[in-house]
Amino acid sequence: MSAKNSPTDKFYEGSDLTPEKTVKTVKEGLRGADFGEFYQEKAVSESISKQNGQYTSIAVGNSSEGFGFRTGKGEQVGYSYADEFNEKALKKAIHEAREILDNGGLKPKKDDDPVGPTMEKSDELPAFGKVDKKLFSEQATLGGMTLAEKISSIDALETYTKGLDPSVTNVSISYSSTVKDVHIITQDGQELVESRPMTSLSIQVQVTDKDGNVETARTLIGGHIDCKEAFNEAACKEAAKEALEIAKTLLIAEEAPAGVMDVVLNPGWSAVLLHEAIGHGLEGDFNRKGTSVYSGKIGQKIAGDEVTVIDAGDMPGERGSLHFDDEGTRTQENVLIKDGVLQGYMQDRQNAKLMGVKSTGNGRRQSYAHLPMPRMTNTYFAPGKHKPEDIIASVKDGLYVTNMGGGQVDITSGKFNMNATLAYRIRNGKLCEPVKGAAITGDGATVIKNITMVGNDLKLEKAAGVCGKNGQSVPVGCGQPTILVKKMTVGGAGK
Amino acid sequence: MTTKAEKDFLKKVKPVAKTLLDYALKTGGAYGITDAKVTISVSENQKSSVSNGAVSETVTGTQWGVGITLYAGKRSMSFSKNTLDTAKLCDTMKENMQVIHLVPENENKLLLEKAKVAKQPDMSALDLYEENQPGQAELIDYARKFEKAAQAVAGVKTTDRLKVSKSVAQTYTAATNGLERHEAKTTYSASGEVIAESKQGMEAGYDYSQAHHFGDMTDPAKLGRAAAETTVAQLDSVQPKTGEMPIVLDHAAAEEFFGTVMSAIDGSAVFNGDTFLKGQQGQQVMSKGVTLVDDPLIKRGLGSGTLDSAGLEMKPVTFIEDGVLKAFNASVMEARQIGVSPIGREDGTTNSKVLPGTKTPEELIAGIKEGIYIKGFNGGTVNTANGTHSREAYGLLIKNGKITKTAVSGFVVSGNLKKMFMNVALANDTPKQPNTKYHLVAPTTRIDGCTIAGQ
Repeated sequence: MSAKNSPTDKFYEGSDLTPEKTVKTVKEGLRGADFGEFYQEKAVSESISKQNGQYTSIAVGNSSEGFGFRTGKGEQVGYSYADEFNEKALKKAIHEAREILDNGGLKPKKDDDPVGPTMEKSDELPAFGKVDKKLFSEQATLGGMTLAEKISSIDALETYTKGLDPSVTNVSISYSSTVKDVHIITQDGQELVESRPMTSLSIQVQVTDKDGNVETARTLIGGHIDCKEAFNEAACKEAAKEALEIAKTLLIAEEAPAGVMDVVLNPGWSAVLLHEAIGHGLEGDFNRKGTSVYSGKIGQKIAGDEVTVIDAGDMPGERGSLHFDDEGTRTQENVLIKDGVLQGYMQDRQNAKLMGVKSTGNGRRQSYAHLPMPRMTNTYFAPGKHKPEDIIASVKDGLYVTNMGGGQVDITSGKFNMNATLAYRIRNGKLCEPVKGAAITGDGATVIKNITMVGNDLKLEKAAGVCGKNGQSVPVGCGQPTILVKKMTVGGAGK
Repeated sequence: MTTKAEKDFLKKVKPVAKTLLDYALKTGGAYGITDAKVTISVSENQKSSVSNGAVSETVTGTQWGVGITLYAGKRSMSFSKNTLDTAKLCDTMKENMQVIHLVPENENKLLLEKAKVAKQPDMSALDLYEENQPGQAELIDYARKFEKAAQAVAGVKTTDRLKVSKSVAQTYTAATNGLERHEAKTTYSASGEVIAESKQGMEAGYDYSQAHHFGDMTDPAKLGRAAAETTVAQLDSVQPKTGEMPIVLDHAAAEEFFGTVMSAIDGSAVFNGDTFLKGQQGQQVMSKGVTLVDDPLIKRGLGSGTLDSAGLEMKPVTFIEDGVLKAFNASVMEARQIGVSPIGREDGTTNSKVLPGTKTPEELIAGIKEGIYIKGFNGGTVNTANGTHSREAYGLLIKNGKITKTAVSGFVVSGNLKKMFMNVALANDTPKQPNTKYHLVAPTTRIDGCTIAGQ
């Protein structure tokens, strides 16, 4: 390794540690462990928010950095983190992280292989993120535009949006961008680095009708992009028009009906239902503990014939993509359900080891202050054979959901609830009046059996997905083609 | 009384804050800087998880944080870094000084007027910092007792994510308007998931406890048993029939419902026109008998404090009195935006309470032929702009004036908040404060006129 301009340089800036010394210390710290790693990050971020004509927050020059050391054996994991990176802090972290395991008999012996005998060897990853397939630009910075340019873009977008329609009573625009540089030293001493940009631009439009009824809708631009892409004028105007259109439709929409009916989900973000209702239940930790509805069902038919579900962390340009996960495992395409048959779960190193399989590259964490766990990356229903219009035409009385909100799931029972902000009634195969406020409930295991038609129009959502689990948030992608789910429970205040 | 840890912290951070404020004004003079505010915080965290009696996870770590806001006339901008390195912090300040003239003016964002800044009243009587803290062994012992009690309940399959954590946090804020504030708090939290199983399937439940003093935490065996019994009670749940019927909220569900009331009187929602209660101050917005207060001065209260981070002294506030809206929950900026006086809640509400009604919970339920006793909501939509309320819930069926053992789930409670707020009846069982579970304590609450969407 050349000492000049190494991609790891920035991680050692101002520290008394060198790469050689750190790698050696980390490997020693992992003696006797089944798994573990050193994880470091340096993040810079900024955000600007304009609400109702006033700049309510301008934060520029934020930074956050720190590292964590993890060691684990069997079901036991020790983790310690600090924001300052130096030899003393690293040794303290190693000591604290090992304490739990040392008490359980992990005290290193002299002849212990530095890479524990039971340790899974890391993938052969080309060092320093020089992967063969580029999933997103690692050159993104916050400096692509000046502060003045960002402010004038926001002002122009606000003026444009207000001018679109006299019913617009409030426009809120929020921009935030971050670049997170990640440095991992894997259990066998490989150093990996990656620069992860993430930007979001949100446009919220409030409309009020002559009777004083108020509705609000929001659209997002974002993903692994930088500010220049987020502030692309044409895309911003498109997003503003879309938000206005949704808000205006909500003004004339009736309350959603209550009852059991067939539901058609539009392509793209509706897949948040897949994420909640099925995806979480396929994460390795729940299945290792037997607390998921899908536990012990590999090889079984759990869904309709047309259903294939994939989680792929290696899709170019998608929101949940990473060249390697937060444990240093290369991301890959994992087919979770194929033609209705359960193929496998999403795994991090610990759960993979305990279940006797290999990590699938799904070990993710929110930051250096958090432990990794099995998480989704980009999860989607593979496209099927039906034309979307044929799917709608097949429904006698149901709902066509165009704007899905967020949702929640109870992994153990599989019960979920999702909120469809905006939907349309389907009557005799035709789209009819818009309805709002439909709460969709059910359990994932039943829903996935009731998917009877899958469209050929797969679309992935790049801007919206943020997944929370065990108090940790990570960006995720999700997607689907148009699909038909039979007999879902819809709750609304209407008739 | 100041503890050694507090003295050490102040000795370390006060000079840093002074250096930063001095730099802001001295170097900033040339860039038009008129004011600055610095906040320095540290939290030391420790968390242990237990699985079948063994320690499964330990996480330890310390995080520092520094937040700086610069003001130039009516312009302001801020940043945060997790380092005390003054050279780095001054570099970023300098970068911000150079561009602050580009920031559009917003006088609502300025610091609190000098004359309104209060001296921080002594906090020691609130007793939020425990000097003699338990060691990791005691935390682990708590988790083990929680787990053992939960697993002993019939119908429980296993427990999961059973963890106990300790956080020791201190914050120091200083600003050029005279604001100086220091808080030190220890916070203990325990939580665990219980998985119960019957022939029909599995059900997960959850319970938790939180306190500033370890000794105030709910007894672990009691907490574990309660978590398990609640979960087992939800096994074999059925979907109720669709229809209009009264709902009765237990303490947890009532906390969520009154949380929605707080969202509807939030200063930011008023400013953005996102609440139907905009302009309703002094009006009857809830049923008579509903009084919602917030008291920051409760000893060992989870939200207690004496001075907010803007520099206003914190005193009890009445938000709703006998159903009449008395005050919006507005920060200094929001108060200026909507033209009201700030209330000393820059950092949110503290220890909120809905005063008890007159009936016992049994009396409240007695007249209900068919209804649902709700133990919790899951997600859904609450829109305070148009009043839409559509949330999934779970609980027990009420029949002929009594709560039955029939568990119900998978249904949605729909209604309009405007109507729901005016259809509230309260029982007399408001939980006591300080509370180890609820930030907002509310009695068993009955709401009539909601639609239940089930079968």
